[in-house]
Parts: sequence; C-alpha cells; structure tokens
Amino acid sequence: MHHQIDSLAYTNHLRSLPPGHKLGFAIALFILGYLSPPPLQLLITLWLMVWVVVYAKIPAKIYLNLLALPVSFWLLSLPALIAGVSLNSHSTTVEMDALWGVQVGPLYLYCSQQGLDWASIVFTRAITLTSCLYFILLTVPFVEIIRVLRQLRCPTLITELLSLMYRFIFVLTETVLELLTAQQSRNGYAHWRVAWRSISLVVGQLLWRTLENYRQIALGLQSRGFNGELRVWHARRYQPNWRYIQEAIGGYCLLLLLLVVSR
Amino acid sequence: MTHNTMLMEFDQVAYTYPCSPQPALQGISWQIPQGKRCAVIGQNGCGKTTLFRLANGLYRPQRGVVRFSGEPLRYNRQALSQLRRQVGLVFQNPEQQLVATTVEEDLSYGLCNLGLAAREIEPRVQQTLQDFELTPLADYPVNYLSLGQKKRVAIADVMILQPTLLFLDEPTAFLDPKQTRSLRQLLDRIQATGTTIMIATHDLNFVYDWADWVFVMNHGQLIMENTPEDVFCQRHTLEDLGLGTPILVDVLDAIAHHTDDQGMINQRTIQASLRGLNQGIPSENV
Repeated sequence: MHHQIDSLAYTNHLRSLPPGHKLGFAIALFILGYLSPPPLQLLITLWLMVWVVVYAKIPAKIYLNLLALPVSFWLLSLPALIAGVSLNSHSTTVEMDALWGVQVGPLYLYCSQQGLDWASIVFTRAITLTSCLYFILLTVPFVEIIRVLRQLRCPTLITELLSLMYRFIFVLTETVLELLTAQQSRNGYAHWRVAWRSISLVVGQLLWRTLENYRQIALGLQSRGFNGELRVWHARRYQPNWRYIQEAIGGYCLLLLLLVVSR
Repeated sequence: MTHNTMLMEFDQVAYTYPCSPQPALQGISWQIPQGKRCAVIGQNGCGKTTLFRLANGLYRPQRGVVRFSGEPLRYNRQALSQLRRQVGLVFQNPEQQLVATTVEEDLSYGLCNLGLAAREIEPRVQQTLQDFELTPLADYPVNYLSLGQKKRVAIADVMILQPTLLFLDEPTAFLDPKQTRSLRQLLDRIQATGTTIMIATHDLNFVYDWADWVFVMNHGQLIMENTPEDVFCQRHTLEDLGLGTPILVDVLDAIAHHTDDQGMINQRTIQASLRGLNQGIPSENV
C-alpha cells in the first residue's frame, strides 16, 4: 500500500500544480472542516472526492478503500461510544439518556442517546479530516512536501531526516522483501514454529544489514563530497492552473458563507 | 614513461582493514596512464575495491603514498573535496550512492556540495540530464528506477563534476546485455571528453573488447599489466589465478590448433575442445 500511494502521488493529474497551492488548499479545508457542523462536513468530503477522483484521476476503488480505513476505526470504537453502564437503572440521567437497555445482574447496560450523537459527530469529522489528509497524500509527492517545508524555513535537520527516511524506507522494505522471499523459497514458512524462527532470523539479519548499509552509504556520501549538509537543487516546473484556483477559492468562500449562516 | 603522463600513482601502498587478519593490499605499486581505457581484473577479494577507495581518498594508506598528478594526496577536508572533484568513483551498488529523492536533485547534490549558485547548477544539471538521456526521468523518484537506470544516474552523478579520472567498480554487474551495450556507448562518450577511465570487472569479454590496458591483481598485489592481447595470451598464468580467458581468445586459439596443413578447419573438433575448455574455467557469460 505504501508503494501504491506514493506512486499515485507521482502520477496523478494534479501533479503539475504548485505543491504550495495544494497544501494550502488542504490545510484551509482541514480547518474549515474542523469548525463545521456535520452537513457541511459531508459537503466538504464530497467536494474533495471530486478533486481526488475526477480531477486527480485517482482510481475510485483505491480512494474508497482508503476512506474505509477511518470508517473501520470508527466502527471499532462504536461500542465504546454508545454503550453505557450504570449501577442504578432508575437515576434520571440514565433514564433520560437511555434509548434501550437491559438489566444484567446488578448492572444496567444501555444504549446512550448522547453517545449516539457523539458517534455521528465523530464519524463525519473523522471522514472529513482524513479526506483532507488523503488529498495531500495522494496529490503531493513526499519530496515536494519536504521542499515546501524547506521554503518555509523548517530546520534543515528535520527536512534532511525526513528526506533520508523517505529514501531509505524503500531500501529497507526491499531488503525485508528479499529476505522473506529467500526464506519462503526454502520453506521457511511451512508451519508456525518454523515461521517464528524465520521471522527472528529476518529481524537479526536486518539489524546487521542496516549497519552494513549505513557504513557503505557513509562512504558513498563521502565520495560525493558530503560536507555536513544535504543540499540539493531542483527545477521549478509547476504550472498554476486558473480553472482549479478559481474553483478552489470560489468553493471555499461558499463553504465559509454556509458556515457563517449556519451559526 | 615519464611522470607527467601518469595521472595517478600508487607507491608501495599497503592497506589492511580493521579486524582483518590479512592485508587487502600488500605494498602495491602501479600507475594509471592518462587517456587510456584501463581495466583491473582479479578474483573476488583481490583488493580491487580497496584500491579504488584509496584512490578516492576514502581510505588512507597505512604504508606508502598515493599520488595524483604527481602530488601526494593530502587528507584534510579541503584537499579531499578537491580530489573527489577530479577523481570520480562509481560504486558497484548504485543504491549506496544515490542520496537525494529525485534524479534531478541527486544530480545537483555534488554541485551543491561545491557551494555553486543555483544559476550555475541549473545549466549543468540540464546538460547532464541530456547527455545521459535522463531528461524524461528528471523529476522521477530514485526509488522507482530500475537497476540499470540507477547505475546510469550514479555515473551521471559523478560525471557532472567533470572529473579527469573516473573509477567504476563492477559497472556491468547486474546489467543485462542491452544495458551493458548502452553502458559501453556511455563509456565511449565519456572517454571522448578526455576523461581517463578505470574499471574493475569480472567480465573478461568486456575487458577484451573495450580496454587498452589491463592490470591483473591477486591477493593484494599487481601480478602483471599489459595490453589485453598480451595479457590474455598468458593462458596458464590466468588459469592459475582462477580467471580464465575471454571466449574470443579461446575460439582463436582453438582455430589455430585445429587447422590442418591445408588450412582446413575442423569445426567439430574445435567445438569439442571449446566445451572442454569451458568446463575448467569459472563460469563466464558466454
């Protein structure tokens, strides 16, 4: 999945837009989404879906799968949100709140009206805010996020760490996959006892290989004249698109207006 | 040969890796002639990679001196940075040399380290992208490149600094025949710009085909150096070193052996003798 999201970020149809515009748009929507009531939040979610699926041409199936992620978390936390437990089933607060309940021994289990309200608020908020984050994740390559951070004078230590981490996550996953395939081809996962042993070997090997890799990369950096700072240059070949800018600003103003009216 | 035609010189250089019982190089002396296509051959662990890293100033000799353009190497930061600008090293595994996230950023890395301004960097990056046919990949993340492409980027990364001497450690490793051919063309173009190239490889056919001057190493020592024709006619020495000979040399030898007095060539016996030969030789890509 990591790979897929990342490669979509490089191939989507909004790639040529300046990353600053996309980031600004998503962050502004994030703030608006946080402050809005549920109907407006759903509107934002739908609008972002148009941006991601129609404009950026991210396959709808992948996007819906990604959105299913916060929904599944929400489903998991649903029981905790709506269930109530009380020792006294006749207290007024419980009677006011309970939609439906059952007495189990000394405990009274009930379904809470307040909890249900909470759950619906959490649902729309979660789905709206993750939509905003997905918009960034799917349309702005990580490299460009780092560039924007650099422009915003984020400390070099952080941007360097981020870019090195990004670069070497791939080296690491590749190493892990190689090890796993090698073990599989030698029946390393035939049954669970062997599988555990194989996994422990992978972890041990990874540590060793990471150290070895570190040494080699340190040499590689030196031979390329590393002088304590990872500075790079890149061409700016972004093109602002007026049609998108108009829609983004117009839509945002409309949503803002709706928010003010609804208050 | 005089001093000024020798680009780099190793004088009695010895190097032992920390915690290693055996020296990687034992007092090796050799000279890299300017403008030639040089190749080093030798078994794994004979010290080729160590030699290259010493030449790039990554390791410091424990004994002996390395000279570049007649001057002994100095190991302070400034001198090393100057050296690495003139002596490029391409590692065997490109993964270890690619540090930035996109091709273009990676190319610019070496230039940024020299402290150049953006307006100087841009034309050089554009030119290198063109020279190495990387323009379509300029904004492409390094992670998604194929191994052949990564190798190309790694060579471009070094060549963008316009070194006078270029070391390539096993450049044909992991490359398919087509990629090897395009690497050859690339090397020809690099050489045409006046860069001296030195390659460490196991691919004897490549050496026979490409090099003008061959060094043979064994156990951290230089055994011989000569033109490929003269090196590869010493079949017994090479076999003792576990190296073998290029297939073309084998074929020519076999033809010479199995041609009768009337100049007739017996193909069947030639083929039989070649098959016999290949059994004794460590596998080469034929």
